[in-house]
Amino acid sequence: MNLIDPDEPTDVRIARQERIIAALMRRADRRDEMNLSAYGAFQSAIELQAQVAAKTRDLEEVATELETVRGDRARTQRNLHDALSVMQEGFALFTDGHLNVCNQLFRTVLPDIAGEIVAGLTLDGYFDLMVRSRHLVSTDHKIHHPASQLKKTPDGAMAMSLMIELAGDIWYQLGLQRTSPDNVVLLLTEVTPIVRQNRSEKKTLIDQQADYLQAVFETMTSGVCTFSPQGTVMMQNRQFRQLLGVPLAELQPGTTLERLLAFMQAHGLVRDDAFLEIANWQQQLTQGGWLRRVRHGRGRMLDVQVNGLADGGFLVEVKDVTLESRATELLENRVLERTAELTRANERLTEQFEEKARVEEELRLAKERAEAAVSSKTRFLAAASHDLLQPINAAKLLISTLQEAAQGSHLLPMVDRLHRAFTSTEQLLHALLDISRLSSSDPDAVTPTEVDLGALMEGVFADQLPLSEFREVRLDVVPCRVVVRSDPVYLHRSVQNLVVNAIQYTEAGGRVLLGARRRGSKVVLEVRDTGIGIDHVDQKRIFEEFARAENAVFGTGMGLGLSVVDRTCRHLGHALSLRSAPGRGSVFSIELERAGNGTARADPATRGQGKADTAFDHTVLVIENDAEVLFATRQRLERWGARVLGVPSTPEACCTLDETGVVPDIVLADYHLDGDDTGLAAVAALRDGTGHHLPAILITADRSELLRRMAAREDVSVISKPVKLSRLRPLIDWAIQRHRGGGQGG
Amino acid sequence: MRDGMTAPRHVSVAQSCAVEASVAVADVASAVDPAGTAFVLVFVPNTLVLDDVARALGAQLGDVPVFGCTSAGQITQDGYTSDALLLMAFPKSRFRCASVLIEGLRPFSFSAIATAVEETQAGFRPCAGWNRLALLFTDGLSKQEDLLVSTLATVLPDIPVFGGSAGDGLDFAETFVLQDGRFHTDAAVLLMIETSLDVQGFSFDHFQPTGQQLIITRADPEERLVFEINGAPAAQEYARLVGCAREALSPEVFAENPILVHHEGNYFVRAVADATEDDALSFMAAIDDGVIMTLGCGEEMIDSLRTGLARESAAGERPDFILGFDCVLRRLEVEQKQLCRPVSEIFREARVLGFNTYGEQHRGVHMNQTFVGVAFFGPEDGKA
Repeated sequence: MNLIDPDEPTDVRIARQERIIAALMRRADRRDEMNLSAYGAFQSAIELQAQVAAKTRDLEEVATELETVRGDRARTQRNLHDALSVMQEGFALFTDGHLNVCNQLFRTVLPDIAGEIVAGLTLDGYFDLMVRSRHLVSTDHKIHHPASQLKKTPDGAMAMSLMIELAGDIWYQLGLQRTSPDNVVLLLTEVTPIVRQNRSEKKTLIDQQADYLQAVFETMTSGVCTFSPQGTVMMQNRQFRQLLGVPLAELQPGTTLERLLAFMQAHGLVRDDAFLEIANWQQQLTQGGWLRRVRHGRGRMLDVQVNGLADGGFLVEVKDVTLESRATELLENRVLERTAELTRANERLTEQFEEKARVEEELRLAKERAEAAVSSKTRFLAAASHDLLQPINAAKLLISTLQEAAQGSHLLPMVDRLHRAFTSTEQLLHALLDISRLSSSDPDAVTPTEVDLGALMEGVFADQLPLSEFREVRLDVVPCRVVVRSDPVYLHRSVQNLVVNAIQYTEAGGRVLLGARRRGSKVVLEVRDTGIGIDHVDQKRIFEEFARAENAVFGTGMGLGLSVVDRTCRHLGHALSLRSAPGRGSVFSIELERAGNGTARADPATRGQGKADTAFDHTVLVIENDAEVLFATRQRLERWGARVLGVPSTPEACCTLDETGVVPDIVLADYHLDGDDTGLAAVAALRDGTGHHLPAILITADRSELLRRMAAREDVSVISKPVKLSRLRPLIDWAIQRHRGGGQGG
Repeated sequence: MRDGMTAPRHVSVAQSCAVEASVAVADVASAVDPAGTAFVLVFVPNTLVLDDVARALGAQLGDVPVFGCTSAGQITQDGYTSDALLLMAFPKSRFRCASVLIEGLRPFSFSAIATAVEETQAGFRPCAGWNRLALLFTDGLSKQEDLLVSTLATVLPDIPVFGGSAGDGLDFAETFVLQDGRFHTDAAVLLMIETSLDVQGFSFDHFQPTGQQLIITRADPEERLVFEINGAPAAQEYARLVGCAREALSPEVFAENPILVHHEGNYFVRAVADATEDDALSFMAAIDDGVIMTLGCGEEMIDSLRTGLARESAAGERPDFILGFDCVLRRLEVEQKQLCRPVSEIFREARVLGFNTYGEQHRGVHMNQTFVGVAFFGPEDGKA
């Protein structure tokens, strides 16, 4: 298509184009003007036509739609009506609070108001009508202001549901439900059969229950009676009548509590005025129950319990508690008795306790006195031993000197006898002192230590050899090397006593054997003799002080020796045993604990005695505060051949040495010097003064371990009082020898 | 009744091909029952002397109102007829009317016409349940139909207006409208009708647009003259576009090659009346400078005619008769294609009665080369 004739020359074509454009532009300009020309009218007209056509189309569409909608609505309405008419429930729809549609059933439920149930009826109006209807008997809720109540419930929830009873025992359930903000649905469902069935079931159940209850009532062991809220008897059982002793005639249903109480009072059935007072009952009931024990006229004890019931009545339960109460009484009585007994017992105990306390006090006092006595005794002993032993020491030394001096003179036998008598006295005294010490409870009486048993036995053997020779008894010792745990001094004494005993109770020609043997961890020391033996009866007695066997020769031995042995063994825990047969001999045995590997500390005083034939030309410094003893010692030593310097105290000793310039070969010092002066102090001072480590021997009656240690530390030997001369000389020799030997230790 | 077709029941129809006016009138007047007739429509061929016709009508029909116009041809009970005087008598039982003569179409006075029409309408009391419509007969050479019909649409918004422009055969010399027994020129007759019958108005044409566009680049809208199309002399350009020689342009060519104006999917025909010596084209409908038009081409006429005339009432009934305003150019085309007989057959079958016009008015629009019809449907069976 071409607007311009292509055959025309270009300029013509261009001109034509220009005219076209101009025409179009003119037209365009004119378009907006009001055009009253014919063409303008035409244009308007066709414009209008097009609009009208469009509108017509729309209208037709709308009309069709409307027709469709109307048709649908009509259909729906018909369907709804059909549905409603076949519903078995009464149905009503309230829209915006006014009745919109309902079915026949809904209308005719209450026939007298059916005519007024028309479209437009309000919800409240319907309820008003319902309430006014003659056919309505009751409803289970009060119906008022359902509209306002509905407002409160959310959509879809059952706003209200109530049961309606109509005349003729017809029951309906009316349900209100809000289905949407505008619509409320009421449904009336007939529930008559359900209600009736329910009722009959309930009745059956109640009847059954009643029968059951009655049966239970009758079989109860307590008496029960129920009262109505008005206070009249409703139900009671036989037990109730029996327990109270009230006849059935007085407990007919309807009898009041007052009447019952009056009856009981009149017949003296219950003796409890407070119980019978009705006002009390009321008061107690309001407080929620009452439990009271009353005594029944016929001797019974009854527990009456009253409790309120849910319906306002109350229940009275009566229990026979006669037995219980009796038992209770019994129990109470018993309790009282017991209490009285206990009280008395308590008093007695208190007395006894006080008594005991008194006794204890007395005992304590006694113990104190005993201890005081013991300690005083110990002190006494200590003092006594020292004081006693000093003169004895002196006497011994003097007698020894005398013996030597009397050699070859006619005085010798007398001096020998004197010596022997004196020796006996000495031994007795020692034994006495030992016994005293051993019988005290002084823990320091014995000092267990390690003892060379072999050496001890050798010592005893050596000491007693002269005696055995004198009695013409063969004394033997079995050598042994064993260390035991015991007190060396007391053990020595014990062994010595046994040996002496053995010698003394053996006839001439007999044998005494001293030996020891191992028995496991123990050592058994035995002293065997072929002596006169001890018969069974005496075996016990001989250990007692001063007791003697009957067959003992009068005048021999001492009575204390075995006592000392006995006490020593008891103190040291050694088992002492005796086997003997009269005429055959005896064996005394002491069981000792073996000690460790420690070497027994040899008691230098028990070393074998040396002979008296070596030269004894030592310079001896003797420090002794007792003049007698000093004299005696000097005499002895000088007899042996020593040069003796005797001083009573440490200062004097020092002076003497300073003056004389003599350095003694050995110092013999008594431990107990005057005042605070001691032998050890003297030795120390002398050693200081001379600048020599002088050998020293301490003479003391003190047998304590402490002193021996002190002495040992000072390198001072110790010999005990009373001094055994046979030991003294070799000891001095040994000490000097040792010192000269260059050895420092000892 | 001719050819066994049943006649319309609600209108009396008569026609006469007599050459003598009085004879023709006398012929047709016999069908009129003066007492029972509300009004009469008369369509006059241009072969009759109009004064004679008027006088004869007045004498024969007396007080019966007579309306009508000159025509370019008639559609009678025989179909397309030429030179026939057609008379249609509308019974009082079914019809009422009121008329307005609109004189002096040039210059067009909107207010005068509006006033006159409103007055007449106010006086024409409506009858309950009857349908209202209006028929318009206009001087076909006044060139004012567009304004007129637009005005009437405005003034009578609720009354559909159907009309045909008076014709003058193919002479295009003088055209007259008939009112109150007198012929007027430069005038129009508006006939308001009320009827108890159901009425359906319709129109159709048989043209489709080609792709060829024409732009009016110089014109005289008042005279419906187009001087230039597409910047070139109108007639020449039209001839070029139509594909024939300038000298060969004739009414037949015009009829077959109308020019269409397009609006919202609808096409309206602007028929070409004549080509002047200055190579201008005169149109039979409103045109304007700068308008873009499309060249149209025709479809098959018979089927479109049959389809267009197939009107049914709400109940599915065929019309009792159709009052037809058929453009003269359609007739020319039919005659050119020698389809007169089948077309006439169709007209007879559909009981179309009317005339060939120089223009048609429908729905407030003045059109060309269109068939405008008013179908009258009988009431339910049983009522005569």
